[in-house]
Amino acid sequence: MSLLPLSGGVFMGWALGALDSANVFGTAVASRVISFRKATLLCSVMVILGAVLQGEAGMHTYRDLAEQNLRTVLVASVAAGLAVTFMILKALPISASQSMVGAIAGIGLASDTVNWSGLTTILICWVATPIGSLLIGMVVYKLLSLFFTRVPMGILTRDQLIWGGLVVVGCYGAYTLGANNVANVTGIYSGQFTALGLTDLHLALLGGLFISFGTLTYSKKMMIAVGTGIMRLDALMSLVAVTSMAITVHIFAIVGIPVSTSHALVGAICGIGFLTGGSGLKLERIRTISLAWLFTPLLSLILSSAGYAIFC
Amino acid sequence: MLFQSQKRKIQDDLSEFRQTVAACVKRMREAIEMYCETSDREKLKEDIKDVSRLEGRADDIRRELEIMLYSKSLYPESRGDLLGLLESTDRIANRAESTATMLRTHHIDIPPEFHEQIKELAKISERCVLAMLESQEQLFTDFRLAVEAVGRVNELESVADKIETDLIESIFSSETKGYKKLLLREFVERVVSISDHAENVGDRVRIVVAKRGI
Repeated sequence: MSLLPLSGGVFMGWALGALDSANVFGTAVASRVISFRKATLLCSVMVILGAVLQGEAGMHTYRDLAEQNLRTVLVASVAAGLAVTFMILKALPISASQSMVGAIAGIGLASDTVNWSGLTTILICWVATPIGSLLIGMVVYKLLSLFFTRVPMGILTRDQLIWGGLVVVGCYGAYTLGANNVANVTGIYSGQFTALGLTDLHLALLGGLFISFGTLTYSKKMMIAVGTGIMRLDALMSLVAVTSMAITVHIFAIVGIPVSTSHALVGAICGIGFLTGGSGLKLERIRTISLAWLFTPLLSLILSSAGYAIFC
Repeated sequence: MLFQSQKRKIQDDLSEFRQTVAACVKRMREAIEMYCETSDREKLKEDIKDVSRLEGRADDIRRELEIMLYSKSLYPESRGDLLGLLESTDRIANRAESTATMLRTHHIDIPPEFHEQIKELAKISERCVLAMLESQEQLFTDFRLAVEAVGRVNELESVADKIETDLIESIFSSETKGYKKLLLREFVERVVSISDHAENVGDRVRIVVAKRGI
């Protein structure tokens, strides 16, 4: 037995890091609150921490979604990674979770081993993610608005609180990204390398490292796209958006369902947009992203099914 | 990260800058009053030296602050706002100096019938600047209150405009010689430009607050 199938995880982790770290620090980087270099370093450390400390629950969910062997996991990982890479090239903040679940479902459909109950739960969570984040975003925005309008403070103190807050919630967001999304990277390998002594904890650590690799090498484009693409965000809005995203994703990390940080972030930004009158929302951009959300799992499903037919 | 000590240093320097600008405008007002009352050109030279010294000090503080604002990791939005306020406020000190200097270089002759109006104009302009500086101070304690002070700036600027209009009308309907009328009008316009500019800075303050509105 070799570790070669893990190369699919490296690819998927790189794609996820490049894509999803934008959701965590993209708004802060685009607002020039923190430099890209500092953001990626902080993000990488926190992703690894989140993956190791709370990443195992989601990994079990993927393991039970369809029957896998070392060939199918490699095919699924590469299919999901290709789908995500394609969307990154289009600068669309889509979901790595959708991509991976689509790929696993593709293998499951081809081999007739899909766990429909588990898949249904995941589909429900996909719908719940942006809606939940939208609602959390509205509540967080209202609370922070109250705080900043009621408490007397100077502009430097205000900006310092928001700035410091953005870095803190960015770190929290990176932690939840690692905790929730490491399953997308190495969750599919859970139980596949027991003969080599690789436990889920080891896989979580490796997944965190792979995500960090993507964060450090190829996340700039998406950071700018997320920061300015959906709505022009000021620092307070950025703080609310990332906080809401992180809370939402953390909830699902505890539940053990890998969800999309992209869905959560877009939901939160829409929530802020609704509260502030919606005039800043770029509806055309939201429409494109929504279509990409539908297209992503289909693309990875088709790719993995085709890969299964050819290689397995 | 902007630490407390850095924030304190920035706020302290900004406070010193505001005090220097206020002192500069005060000395200009005192120079105008003294000149109206005594026409003492030697004393005027001394007063102008004071105004110039304060204007130079304001320049120095502004430069130090600009370097500090660029080198410290200040939040970009705050940095832009503070730099804008610094530069525009510094121009008030420049105008105070050029106004006082004009009295000397242009040998302005202020007929006694205009003394009270000109002194009142200088006083209102100074009050306008002080209200504007107070609005800036509010930005660093409770920025929501800054707009109230800007409202006073607008009121005082309107009063200054009214005095200016009446004064210019009086000047041109007086027996003063033609070229002296023009010089006097230019001087009056310079004094008023201080309150005009204070109002412009007040508008900037209003924008700084509006940008942080919820």
